[in-house]
Amino acid sequence: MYSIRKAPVISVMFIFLLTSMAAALTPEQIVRKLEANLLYPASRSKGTIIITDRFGERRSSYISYTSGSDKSMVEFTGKEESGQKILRLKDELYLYYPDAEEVIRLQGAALKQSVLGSDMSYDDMAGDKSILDSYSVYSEGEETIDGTNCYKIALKAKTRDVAYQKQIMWINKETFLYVKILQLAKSDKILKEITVNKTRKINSHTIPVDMIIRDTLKKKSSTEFIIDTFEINPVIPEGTFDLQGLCW
Amino acid sequence: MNLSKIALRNIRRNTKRSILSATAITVAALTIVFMFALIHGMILNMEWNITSYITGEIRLRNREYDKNEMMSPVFLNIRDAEIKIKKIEELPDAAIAVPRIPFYAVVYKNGESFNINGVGLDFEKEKKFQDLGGYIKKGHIPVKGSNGVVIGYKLAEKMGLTLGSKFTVLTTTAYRSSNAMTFRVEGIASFGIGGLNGSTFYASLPRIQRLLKEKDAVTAILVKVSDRKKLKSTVQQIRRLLMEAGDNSTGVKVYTSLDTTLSLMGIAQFSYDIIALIFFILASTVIVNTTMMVIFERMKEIGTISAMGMTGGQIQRLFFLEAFYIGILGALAGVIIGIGITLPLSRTGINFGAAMQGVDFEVSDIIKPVLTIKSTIGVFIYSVAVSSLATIFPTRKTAHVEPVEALKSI
Repeated sequence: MYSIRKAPVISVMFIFLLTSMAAALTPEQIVRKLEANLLYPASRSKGTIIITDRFGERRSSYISYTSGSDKSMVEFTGKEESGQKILRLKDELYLYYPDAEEVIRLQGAALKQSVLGSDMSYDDMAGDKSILDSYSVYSEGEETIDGTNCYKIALKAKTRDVAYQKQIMWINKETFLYVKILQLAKSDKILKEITVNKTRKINSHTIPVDMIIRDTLKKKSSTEFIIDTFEINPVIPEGTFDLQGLCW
Repeated sequence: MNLSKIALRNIRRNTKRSILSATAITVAALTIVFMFALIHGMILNMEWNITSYITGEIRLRNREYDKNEMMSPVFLNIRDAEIKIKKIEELPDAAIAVPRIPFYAVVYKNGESFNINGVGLDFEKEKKFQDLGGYIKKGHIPVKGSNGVVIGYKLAEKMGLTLGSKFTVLTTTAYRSSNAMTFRVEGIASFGIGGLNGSTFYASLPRIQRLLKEKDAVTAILVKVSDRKKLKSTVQQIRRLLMEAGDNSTGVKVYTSLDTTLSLMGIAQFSYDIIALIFFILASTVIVNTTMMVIFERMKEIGTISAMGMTGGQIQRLFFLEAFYIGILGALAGVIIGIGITLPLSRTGINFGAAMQGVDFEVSDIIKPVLTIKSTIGVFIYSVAVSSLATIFPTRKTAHVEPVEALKSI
């Protein structure tokens, strides 16, 4: 039997519980917020790639354009890769090299090749589907990564045609940008690790401006992506996303 | 007493039996003559292929390259290659030095991908170094600096390429980045090494240096000397040149210390020597058998000549001489027939193309057997010695036969 004196305490606890239940996000909602944060009508960015492997460090620079989630074009501007371009149209990837008379379309196993010998594969660039289309998502609670409170979300592939069968994401509770991602094989072997070191707030979006990818299958290897400038909704030159425009 | 005369007379007494014994030796000898000639031809062919297509007689390469060879480390290169090649060719015993850049590449064509090997080289110098002109089946050797290539005929078939066709290769550069370039088929070749025909194309060095961002560097310099006896001294001279140029990263090696296939052939040759011995021992069992039968059949005769004063040792020598003469006849016939079979084949060659299909071995489809002193005179001596020695055991019995016992067997 409840004592009369305890009744107000229980009521307060009940109200607090109801409030917190209403505030708690489902893993699907967290992932949608993450995707909304990273989706812009159009963008242009300039950046530097620092690739480190057991033979040393090398740098390259690029300029990247995106339009929605299904079009992107990266042009390398570094001395050694000058003029090379990667065009993504939905699920299709095309490579353009100034000394080649034809554009190379990558498909199948070729997508596993690394971009510029970095830790990122073409597979990582391909695909325009939402995470929720390709993966079932599960909450694994909350964790603190380097002092940042994060949602820990596990992703399990719905189909076999994705690059990684499992992923674990730590998503910043405030900015809804991932802080760390582990990409795993079906056997739970970690294939890649992505860490965001620095972010920048542009309009309502939080952009990762310093990010490191490590291919754990390669020895002493890492690739750092540094975004120097990032514009949302810039004027994008006409033909940027045209296949024929690659050669211009 | 002239034992030789008696032995020769005994051989003639039963011609059929003597011919049977000699035939066994003949067959063994001719087989071994052919086998030794074929193996020698194969080793010479492999040695030429390896030194012409792959390593040269002396190879200069970055010391770290070997450890990372599987990843085609085009960034582990030799700088100022042209200057170094010029200096090497000024050495008294270096006949020719050529630059090479072998690399892995991939071609995406009609939804298919082909993993291929490219080699950047100096077409003009390779005409002499590897007799490149002799391997062109169709088309011609491209001009230096052009985008023309010479491609193995099987690879061209696989990729559906003919003369004038273009293909784009994607590869990793010296900056461990990627690059692609389009080439045009100007020559279709049947290379000496079967494996190259299905995997390799040759392109002009300046184009490959541009593709791989090598600037003036190459990944290997291959050298051939005027006299192989001068290999070691030339290696020392090249090492001195590199030291003077302040190049500590380039290693210099002789081909015999490089390719394991060639050392495997050395083991194969030893194995064939053993097989030859077994062959002769098997052939000699016919002689042993015949000798034993003769001894039993001629026991009366042994008793008689023993009673007449011939010693046991003389009787044993008599039977040994019979086997020795049969051995000489059989071996001589075998070697002559073996030479007769091998000589025309050493000109035309034997096509092992079908048998070598899919075998990644540095040996040509057509092998020309090469006769040597070992495969002729050596085999003759070897045959006579083994067949004669094989009779020692059965003829020992005759030395201890008592005349009375022998005559009892009548």
